[in-house]
Amino acid sequence: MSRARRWAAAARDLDRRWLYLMLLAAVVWPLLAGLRFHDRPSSIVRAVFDRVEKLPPGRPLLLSLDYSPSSAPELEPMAEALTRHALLSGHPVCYLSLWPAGNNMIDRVVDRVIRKEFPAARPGREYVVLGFQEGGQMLINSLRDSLAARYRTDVDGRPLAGLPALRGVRGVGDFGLVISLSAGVPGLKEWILYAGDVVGVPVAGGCTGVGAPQFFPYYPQQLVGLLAALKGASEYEAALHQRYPRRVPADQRAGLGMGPQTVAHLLLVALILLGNAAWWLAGGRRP
Amino acid sequence: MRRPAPRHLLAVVALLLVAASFAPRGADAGAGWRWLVFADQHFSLWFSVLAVFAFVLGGINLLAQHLARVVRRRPDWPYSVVTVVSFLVVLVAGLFKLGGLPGLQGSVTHPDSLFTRLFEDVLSPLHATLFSLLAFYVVSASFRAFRVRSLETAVLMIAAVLVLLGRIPFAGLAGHSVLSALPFEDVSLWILSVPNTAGQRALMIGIALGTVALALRMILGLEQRGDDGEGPA
Repeated sequence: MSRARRWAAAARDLDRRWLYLMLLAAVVWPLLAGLRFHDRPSSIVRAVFDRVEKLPPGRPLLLSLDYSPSSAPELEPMAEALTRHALLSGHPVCYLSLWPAGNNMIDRVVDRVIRKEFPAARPGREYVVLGFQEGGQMLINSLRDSLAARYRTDVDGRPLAGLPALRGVRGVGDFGLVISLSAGVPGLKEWILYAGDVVGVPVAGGCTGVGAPQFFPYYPQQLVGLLAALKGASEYEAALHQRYPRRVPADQRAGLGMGPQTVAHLLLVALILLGNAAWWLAGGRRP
Repeated sequence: MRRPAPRHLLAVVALLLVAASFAPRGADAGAGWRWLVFADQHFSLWFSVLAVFAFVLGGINLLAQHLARVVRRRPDWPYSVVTVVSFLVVLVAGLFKLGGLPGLQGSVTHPDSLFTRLFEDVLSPLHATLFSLLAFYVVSASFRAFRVRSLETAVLMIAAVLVLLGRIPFAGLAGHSVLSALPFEDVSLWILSVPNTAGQRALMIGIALGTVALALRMILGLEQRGDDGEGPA
């Protein structure tokens, strides 16, 4: 066996713990070095941003946080950026969730963005938290014609009738935009099929990386736009910084996460190519 | 035909829900349509009420299963102890709003509540840890399992590499004009928008047609699986 072939065979049979170590280094090094990548919004992300920008002043939007902590690193930066954008552009935000962990996920976003960056914002005026209710697509069905069918009050017990944030809103169709940040079922697909398609309300969304391919068939007819994974959130943050450079810093949460993700992606590509090269040079099958 | 009443009920409710999907909404809709929308809303509400009962049944079932494992000292029974204790602690913390504002309108997610602390300090880190372990499996699989053995796997690998490269913000690499000019983002978007969409739509339409066929069989009483646990007659 030639020397090159022996090297290739050794590389092909590399202990997986070395691979784990490489990934650890690929994630830790950009964090320690403070590596930054400033993104630019793609057309599918820009479509969501522009729709929020073009909403008539004061028109509320519905933000459904349909995820649990396991998907929060990808989806929470989107929720934060969308909340920031809505409040900066003067649109009240109405939060609800189709997932049992939703109330806590909503509370985290309200605490990190609204209470810290918009201390003058008041519940019921700039934002409303409806919270989680069981039912999935059936909950959406109930809300199509009237929010009061399922929510008489917000999570703190304020009656919805008369809240300034929901002025002119009777059912889901009266929101300017419905945005679902979705880690699975029920989520964005259910909002498209049971709200957007039935009452004609525009629906946009965000999703995890593995979930993105299933939503492309809905774009652009049934889906205004899509924020796919951390990169989608980072692109939205970039659009927000371009529009509000004095209020929104260039380095936000998703942007900070793009350093480790970028290096990890490059490592993955390199490993796919190296793994195949070693496999071919070593003669295919394990000796 | 055994147990015809549930089957008739199923047919009536299913037909009503299908019809409600086509009902015009708004003030100008006729009285008949409004009645259909009203029925649609209330069936949805009943579904959610039933789902809440399913939560309770699920909880009782979980306790019964795991307590039986503990009592009979079945294999891995200590894990069942962890499950039961975790379940009861979170249930009590949430039901009685320990540490938060009491009363029916007191929020379960109050920052000082035990429920919130359990969520933030136990559940969230556990979820994040488990989910992040996937990255290590993906890295191992990319090196050891993603082999080009045929034309199909070659196409798959090229598409995967291009989509991965498209998720890298080359445009943000200041001073690297050559790298930032590479069209990986556009190519990645094209792969997702065109070939992926074509495949996804084919799957979705196939699944939808199958679902419609199954629904029709159930409405017409031809499908017996599901109501008595036995196969078709």
